[in-house]
Order: sequence, then C-alpha cells, then structure tokens
Amino acid sequence: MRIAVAGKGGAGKTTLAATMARLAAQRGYSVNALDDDPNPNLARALGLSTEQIEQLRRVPREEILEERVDSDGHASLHLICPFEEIIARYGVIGPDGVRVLAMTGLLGAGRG
Amino acid sequence: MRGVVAELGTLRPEDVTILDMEASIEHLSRGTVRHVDMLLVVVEPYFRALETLGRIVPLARELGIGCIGVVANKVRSPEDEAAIRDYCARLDVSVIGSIPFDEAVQEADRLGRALLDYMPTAPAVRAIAKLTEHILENGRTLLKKETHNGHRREAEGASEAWHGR
Repeated sequence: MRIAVAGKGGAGKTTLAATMARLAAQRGYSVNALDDDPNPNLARALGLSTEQIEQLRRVPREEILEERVDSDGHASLHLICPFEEIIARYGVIGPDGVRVLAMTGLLGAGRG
Repeated sequence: MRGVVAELGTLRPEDVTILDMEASIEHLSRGTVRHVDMLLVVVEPYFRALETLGRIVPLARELGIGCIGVVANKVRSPEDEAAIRDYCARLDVSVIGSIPFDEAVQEADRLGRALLDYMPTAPAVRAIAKLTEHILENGRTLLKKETHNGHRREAEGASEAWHGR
C-alpha cells in the first residue's frame, strides 16, 4: 500500500509519516519511507542518527530513471535498476528496519 | 516519476510505502499520482489550515486519488474536533483519525529525536498507532469504499484552472 501524507507546513505530516512508518515496521510490514519534501526532516523524525542522516544521499533522478517512449509516442519514466539497489546505494536502513530514501520531486514534475 | 512509485508499491503485498510530501499538492499531475493508494491530509483546527484542506481535497479528487482521509491533529478539545469534522462533512471527506495536542511532539522535535523513541506511550503515539492499525487492517476496504462512493471525478482541466488562479 502506498500512502502519501500532505498538509500545510507545520501541521504535523512528518511526525505522522515517521511514526506510522515505524509502527507499521514494528507490526511486521516491510516499510519504505520516502522524503519528498525539499526541506527534508523525515530522517530525523524517524530517529536516524546524525551519522546515518549524513549517509543519506539525495537520489539523483537522472541516475536511476530512464525515459521510455512507447509505440504511441507516450513517454514514461522507469527505474533503471532494482529498487533494492537504489536503497543500498542512496538509502539508509533506519530504526525498526524502515528503509529511508530522500528524493525531491518524486511525484511532481511528471508527464501525466 | 510514476515508475518509481509504482514499483515501490508492487514489491510485496506486505510492503508499505509512506511518502512525506511537500506542503501541498499543486505540483502533482494526474499521471504521477496514479499509484498513490491513499492520501492522508493532516489538518489543524485553525481556519487557515482548514482552508488549505478545502483546496487540497477537490484537487486530489480531480487528480483521481481514490481514497482521501483527513487526520485531525493537535486537537485540544471536543470543539476542535467538531470544527474539523464539520468542515470535512461539507467537503464530503472522512476524518480517518484524530491526534490530540501533545507536548511530547514538540519536545521530541526540539531534542531531534523520534517521537516514538522519546515517549512511546505519549497520547499522540497512541492515536497514531490506532490510525496505523486501522489503515493496515482495513486498507483494501477503505480504498474500495471511497471509490464506490463515486468520489473519482473526471474533471479534465480542473487542475489547470487551479494553477491559473
């Protein structure tokens, strides 16, 4: 299940997203937590150490995505490598095994 | 970007992907939100926060997000919750959870710690746990219900109209 959390700045979306992620992981789910905010603080709210936060590298879109154009001329973006590899390269495994990635514009700037 | 989010959600059925988004959703497009199963909108019981909700909900529907749930946050009184519930009723969107105002949240933030590590028994944590269990246990049903209620609207061009405002 993919759950997006939105709301006015300061409303508490990062605290909610982080706490939900950890609780779901504690209940046996495999959890990915993605920070799509340009001013990211999800990692801290998840309880990652400063050392881990420094390891967290913002995913460069052009390195993991490729554009494919189908026979009708519609372009779409696809992952170049398996998601596990992206986690290993750019992400950090946080408390309770939550997999954390930082990537601005994950949903935005798409082609529809 | 839809490829990324699509792959994240189809790894295994027990996988959960949580996206902490930008403050609002104006930058989204129909195609990119196709693979978001559920949008949670966090709202505080203040007029301006409710106004923001009033913009996000119709836009999310126009984008085709089938399941939208409001989470009332920093609720200090029954009146606070009633204000949010009234506003949501007018928008025809359900309040899926309610989190009380809790000093522990700011305290954890001030110390740079996870709320869950700082105070696992805090009232806010208990409320989020209840919400998380509700979503994980009833997720599929929630998704179907919302779609069957006819909330999937096909208002082509509506988000462009929004951008023009």
